[in-house]
Amino acid sequence: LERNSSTKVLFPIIFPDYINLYELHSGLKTAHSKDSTLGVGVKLVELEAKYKDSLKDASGFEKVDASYKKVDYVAHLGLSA
Amino acid sequence: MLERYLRLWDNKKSVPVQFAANTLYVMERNGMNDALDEYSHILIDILKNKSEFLHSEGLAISLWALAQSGSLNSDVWTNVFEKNLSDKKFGHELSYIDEVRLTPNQFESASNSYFSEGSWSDFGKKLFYQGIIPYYLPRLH
Repeated sequence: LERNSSTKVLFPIIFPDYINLYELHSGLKTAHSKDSTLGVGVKLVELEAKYKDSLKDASGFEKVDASYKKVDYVAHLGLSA
Repeated sequence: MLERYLRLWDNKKSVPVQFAANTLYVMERNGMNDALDEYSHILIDILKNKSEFLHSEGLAISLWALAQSGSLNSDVWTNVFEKNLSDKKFGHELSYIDEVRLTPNQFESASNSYFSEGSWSDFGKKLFYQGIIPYYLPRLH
């Protein structure tokens, strides 16, 4: 537990570069579209209101997101199944 | 590899919660559906037991992974995400990187926190980079 509580504090200091707002927004939208009864919609609306300006242009994230290649990891790493 | 790692932890509650978030994310990002089917319940249990220790990055990527894979149910949503999302801040900055040493595979960011792909072993490069660098965009000159 001590290790985890220090991670929460240290992680943003060690890795300050992140764009997880877009990933979170993308996840909330996907979850809401798959099951609108979960209650995700309320948080989605809250997030969109809070970060309205930042969410106007997610083209950078979408570009990288779309470029990510799915691979067959067993073959890719040369491992046997 | 994941199975061997998890076997090292007699008590699964001792596994760092960020490990669970990262692993779910990597598996979903790379389409490792068999591994997700087999291990997601263990990783989700870790998230539920230790959700209070997740930082914003962990919350964002694990939510993204579970939403994409269709594994997000009301229990996980309520106990992991709904109660923890409100007090977190989420970033939106893109980090631009510059090449160093005139090579196409070594970069540095303004904060110098980027771990250069060029310094990784061939196995590490294959495992983490796949020839692209997620979330880092080359600076346009």
